[in-house]
Amino acid sequence: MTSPPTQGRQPDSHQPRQGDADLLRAAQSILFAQERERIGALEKEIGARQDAEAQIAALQEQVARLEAKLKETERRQEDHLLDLQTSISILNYKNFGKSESLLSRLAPVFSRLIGQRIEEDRDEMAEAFSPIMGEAIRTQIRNSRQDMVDALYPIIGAVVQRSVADTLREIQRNIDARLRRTSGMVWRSLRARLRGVSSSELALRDAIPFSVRQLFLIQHGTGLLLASYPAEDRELSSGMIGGMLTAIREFARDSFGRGQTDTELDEIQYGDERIIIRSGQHVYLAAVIGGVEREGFHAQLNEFVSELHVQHENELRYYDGDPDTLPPLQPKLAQLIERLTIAVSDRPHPLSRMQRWLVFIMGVGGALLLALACFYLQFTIALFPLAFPGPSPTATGTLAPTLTVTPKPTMTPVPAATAAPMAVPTITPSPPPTQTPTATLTPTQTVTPSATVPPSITPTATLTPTPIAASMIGHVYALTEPKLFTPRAGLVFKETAVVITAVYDTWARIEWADSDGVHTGWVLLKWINLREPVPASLVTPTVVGIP
Amino acid sequence: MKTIQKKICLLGDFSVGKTSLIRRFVEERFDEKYLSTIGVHMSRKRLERGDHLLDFFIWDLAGGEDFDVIGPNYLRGAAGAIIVCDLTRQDTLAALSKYANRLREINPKAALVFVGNKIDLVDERTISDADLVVELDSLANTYLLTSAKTGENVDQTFVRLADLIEG
Repeated sequence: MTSPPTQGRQPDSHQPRQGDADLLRAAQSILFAQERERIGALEKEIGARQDAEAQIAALQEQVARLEAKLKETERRQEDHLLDLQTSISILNYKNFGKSESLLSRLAPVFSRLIGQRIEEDRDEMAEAFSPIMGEAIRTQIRNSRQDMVDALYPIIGAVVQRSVADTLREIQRNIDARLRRTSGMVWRSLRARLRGVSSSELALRDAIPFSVRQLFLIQHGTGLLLASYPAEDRELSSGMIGGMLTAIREFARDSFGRGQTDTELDEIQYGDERIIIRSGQHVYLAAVIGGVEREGFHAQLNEFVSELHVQHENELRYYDGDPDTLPPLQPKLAQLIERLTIAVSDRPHPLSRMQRWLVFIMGVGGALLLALACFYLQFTIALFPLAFPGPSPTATGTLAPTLTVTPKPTMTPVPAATAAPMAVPTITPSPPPTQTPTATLTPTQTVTPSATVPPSITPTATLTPTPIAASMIGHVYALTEPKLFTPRAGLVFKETAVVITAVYDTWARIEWADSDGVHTGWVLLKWINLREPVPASLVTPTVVGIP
Repeated sequence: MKTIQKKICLLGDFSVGKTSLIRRFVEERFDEKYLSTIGVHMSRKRLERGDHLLDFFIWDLAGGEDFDVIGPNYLRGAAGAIIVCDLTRQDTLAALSKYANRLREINPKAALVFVGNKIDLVDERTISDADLVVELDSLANTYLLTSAKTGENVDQTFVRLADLIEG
């Protein structure tokens, strides 16, 4: 019989005992300590490598993801770029292809920008636009004239209307002034009477004086007084005038201007004084006057205001009450009032219609008289040689009026002959006259004609040239004419005293005396010893009748 | 001494005391009779301001319903304004903003001084300080309580305005 397996186990002799096992473990630990350490280190190294590999893998995965993302981004960008290019193409087609569309889209933007800029700095914008404004307006007028007409009509219409009204007033004043100036004229009195105006009323009208009493320069809106001349003693009232005038003008504009900003009060009458107002862009000029202003007065005020704005536009515009910011305006007002006063008192009055007619008629008459006088003078000069023919060198009727020798009846009047050149006294024989009194010789005696000459002949010498004395330098035959081969008049001996009475070309007409009497003849100048130059009055450049 | 000129306006509803304030300020007296302004009443007051003189040209405008018609032209160029309400009439309070805005439309840089007038009528007062503060809150302005009858704060009002204009 065997024992049941449930009995207790008996110790195995082959199994190590508990103490041995401990020893064994101790020995193992001693023997394998180094290996264990190495194994641990290896395990750690393996773990580290595994971690590094895991990190590398993770990084690689991340890189892959980034690369994928990058590719995706690039693809999207390419798509977006394509979309943009497409959009640009579409926009180009829509906008650049249709500039009007582009303009319509941009216009509001530009308008807003420009409006904003103008609000921020109005002056700068004005400076920027001013150079092209003229050209822009011209272009706009050229392109759309009707639009410009429509736009400008309210302004131009009012300006024209005002100008016409001013002109009409000027005409009225002109007529009035002319009426006053034509005092004393019957015509004026008649006209006045026809209109029911008595002479006394007319005289009273003439007596109305005109004076510029004060000038005020006032800023629009504020009514601040910029300057006045003459300066008021009461400074307060001067300052108040600016404000009150401005208030009155504003009131008139509001009440009667019917909303129009370009119509304004330009004249106020108070008693015998009137305030004439001429307005500029920033200031207006108020002139207190008495009487009826002369023509051109308003134009002078307008010119002053315009000139002031041209010269001091900014100072006037930005005046805020500080006088240091203003140019010296009072001297300008003083000059203006002086000009106006001088113009009124000293300026020559324009002529009336009738006076102008009188001046015109007198001018025309004077011109006619002058023309007639010129014509008469010219006519006289032209006809003088015909009426009084010049002397002929062929004169035969000669006379030596300066000699004292008793004359013999040698005068032989030839009806066809003319007076000897410039040396023949006036002789009027009767019957027929033989000489023409054109000679220039001045006789000094009255020749008593001989028996062969009718007793009625009394030569009246009127000749003026003085013959010159000379002497002959050779024996020469004197000829009857200043020409060779003509008949001889006589022989003149050397050193004979002669008198030269005329010169023609190289010939001289001489007179000499001998026992037979006085002779006359022509000799060549070269045979004469001239003691003095021959005066021009004796020289005859052209001789009528010389063959 | 240099004299600087400034245009200022008095604004406010009918019968709030604008003309009386000016009379008290300019002429240093008070007229018990109410003078209804027609259009504009012009006054001038000179203040000594250290190294210079300041001439206030005071435009007293007609208040009330005509303001919309005649106001803008009169406000042009004003360096400042005193806007007045009647402390005994509640309906004049709301007009302060209306006048202030209107003036600022025309002159954005205009200096403003708000005034509650008739402080002497203590028993009849219907506008409190709180009402004024609330009303003027949006305008960022303080106010002065005046009496044209007694002269209380009248000069100070104009001096305040001068300070604001020249400040």
